Amino acid sequence: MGGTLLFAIVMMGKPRLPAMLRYFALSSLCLAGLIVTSSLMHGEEQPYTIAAINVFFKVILAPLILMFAAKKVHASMALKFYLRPTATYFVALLILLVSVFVSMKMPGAPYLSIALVLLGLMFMIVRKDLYSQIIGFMTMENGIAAYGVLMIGGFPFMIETGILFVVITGAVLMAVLSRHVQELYATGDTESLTELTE
Amino acid sequence: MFIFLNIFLFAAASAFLARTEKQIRMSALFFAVLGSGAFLLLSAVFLSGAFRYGWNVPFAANWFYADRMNLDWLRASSYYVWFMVALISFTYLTAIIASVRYIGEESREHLLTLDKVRLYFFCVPLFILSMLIAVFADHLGVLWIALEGTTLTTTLLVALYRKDASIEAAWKFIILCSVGIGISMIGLLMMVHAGLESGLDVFKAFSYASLREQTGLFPVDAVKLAFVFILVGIGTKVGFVPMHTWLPDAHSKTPSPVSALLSGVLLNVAFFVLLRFKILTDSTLGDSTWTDHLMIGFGLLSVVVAAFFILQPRNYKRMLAYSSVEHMGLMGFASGLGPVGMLALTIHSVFHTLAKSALFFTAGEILLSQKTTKISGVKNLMKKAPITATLFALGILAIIAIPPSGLFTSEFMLVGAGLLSVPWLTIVLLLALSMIAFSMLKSTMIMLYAVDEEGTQESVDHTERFTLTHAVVITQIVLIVLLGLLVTTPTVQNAFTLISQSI
Repeated sequence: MGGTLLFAIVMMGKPRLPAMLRYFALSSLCLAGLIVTSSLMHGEEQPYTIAAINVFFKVILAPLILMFAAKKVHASMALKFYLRPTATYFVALLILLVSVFVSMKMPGAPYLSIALVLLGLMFMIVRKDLYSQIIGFMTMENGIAAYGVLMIGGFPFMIETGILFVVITGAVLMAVLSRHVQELYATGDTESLTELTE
Repeated sequence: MFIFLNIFLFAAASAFLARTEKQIRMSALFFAVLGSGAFLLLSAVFLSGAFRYGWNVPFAANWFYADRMNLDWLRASSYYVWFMVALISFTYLTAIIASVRYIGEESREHLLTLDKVRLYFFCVPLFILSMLIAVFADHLGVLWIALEGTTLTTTLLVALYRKDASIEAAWKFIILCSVGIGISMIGLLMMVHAGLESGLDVFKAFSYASLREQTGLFPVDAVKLAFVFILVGIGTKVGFVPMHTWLPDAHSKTPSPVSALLSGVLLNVAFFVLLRFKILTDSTLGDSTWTDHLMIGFGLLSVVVAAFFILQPRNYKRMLAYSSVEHMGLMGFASGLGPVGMLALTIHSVFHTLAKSALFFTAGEILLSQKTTKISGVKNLMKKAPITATLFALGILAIIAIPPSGLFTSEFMLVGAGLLSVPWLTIVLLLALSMIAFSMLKSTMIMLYAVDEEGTQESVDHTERFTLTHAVVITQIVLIVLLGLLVTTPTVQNAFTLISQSI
């Protein structure tokens, strides 16, 4: 459980795309471990199937797709920050403190998922490239999945598969769009997307 | 019954099986007639049967509940569901008819390649399918998947033209809507958790129907928190104001028939989902004051902010998109005003769907003939394209609620109920509404009558032909007027009251 969070935080400070994807995969792997533990504790019928599809979609497929999309347009692997890594770690630390506080105030909200959702949102804000936004979204999704596992004891099999399928389709679409952005603007920087303002 | 949902899968597949561009359009039309015909018929049979015999008739039970497949996941459990299904299928049919003309024209002018046409007719049926599932869904997980499905299937449609602005709009759309729906998932799971706490088992706790039976046992604070998450999350899809920023971009960059679907029905579907959770929260809290205040606040804010953005429109499709924000705001305001407000909301959603989709179809015609979406670029339309111009003017009159249009009835009810419970806010609302009416009329006048200095001669020469889209729009406007008159009669009002109470 701690691993999911630890790797997610380490990921925040990584300036290069491959490293970021590696830590995202590790973080998701820990989440899959959490799912196995939880379903063994609840005595589910298929403890390993759900975890296996989780591993397949989030640990293997999602990073591969993103890497493939980035390689295809020769995107620069070094990504831009609004905040430098040290400052990012500091903000992440603050978020952890806030999550502790919130989860103590509200009994219905587990620490891990609040922290992951907030970290995902922060990640989407402090980075200014397309790939980080996708990864931030997936981190948020991990947080929601963690909420499902911790509070509800996991989803029914079909629903879990459906949710994963939808999330991965979203990631594929985002990757496709980011490729078009790269082709049009020759950069993955979200600051170039400013045409539609009032 | 749910077997009919497969029609939409066949429709999507047919886009890949057909070979030429014409075959693709014709097969899409065939499946649209089949699919929407089936669901329109079902909802007509069901609504009329249910009105006549009450809800728990054996007829309905045999026909609809004997359907064993996925019994727990999808459920057609109220008038309101069938009402929404009727709206979706009607707009689907009209949108596909308009697309046959619109996409045909675009591909003739080489704006779209064959692959794009395929993609278009692949995504649209899937989009309709996910909206229908979102309406039927009883299982909260299925509901979430369907809502996210509506975002994913339309993203590629927003990005269809592969221009800078449309790619940017699509990126904003997918990121904001996905994050919004992700946030609503937290709220949904909190509801499920409350259900588990109150003693339901894991399968029952995901079911909306069984959650609703258990509301008395839920912890109040947890449900309030969950509703806030759901309001913010699904409010993003509805287009309530702080979360609306994706809406004008996405709705103005898609091909016009899809804009009509997005503005006309998708917003209504999202609003319907939000309403269901409002009612769940209300029955937990025991009264509806808390949620009413939230809805009135978001609704009023949406109308007022939309009024300011409509003041200086540069792009007529954007103007229509902001008008959708305004109408969703009105519906939000109405949903906070008790039973009369709910009645107004139900009537409002029918006429908003009809009028807004008619307007977007005519906007598509204007775009085809004038090649620009800028208001300043379209001048003297009354001379250049008299049929389109007349229909556009009629549509604008309908959307700003000039009396024969049914929107007048609903807004009249809304203001009446509003003046009783929140008089000052209603006055602000009225001011904003008149601002919107005047600025929309002003832009329309510029488009229709402003004389442009050079080149009037050659464009006046050729006369406009009557097209398929015009026929569709005329049908819609006739429906708006006829239903608008009918809706003032007691029988029809009773029917709408039954629908609005059944949600």
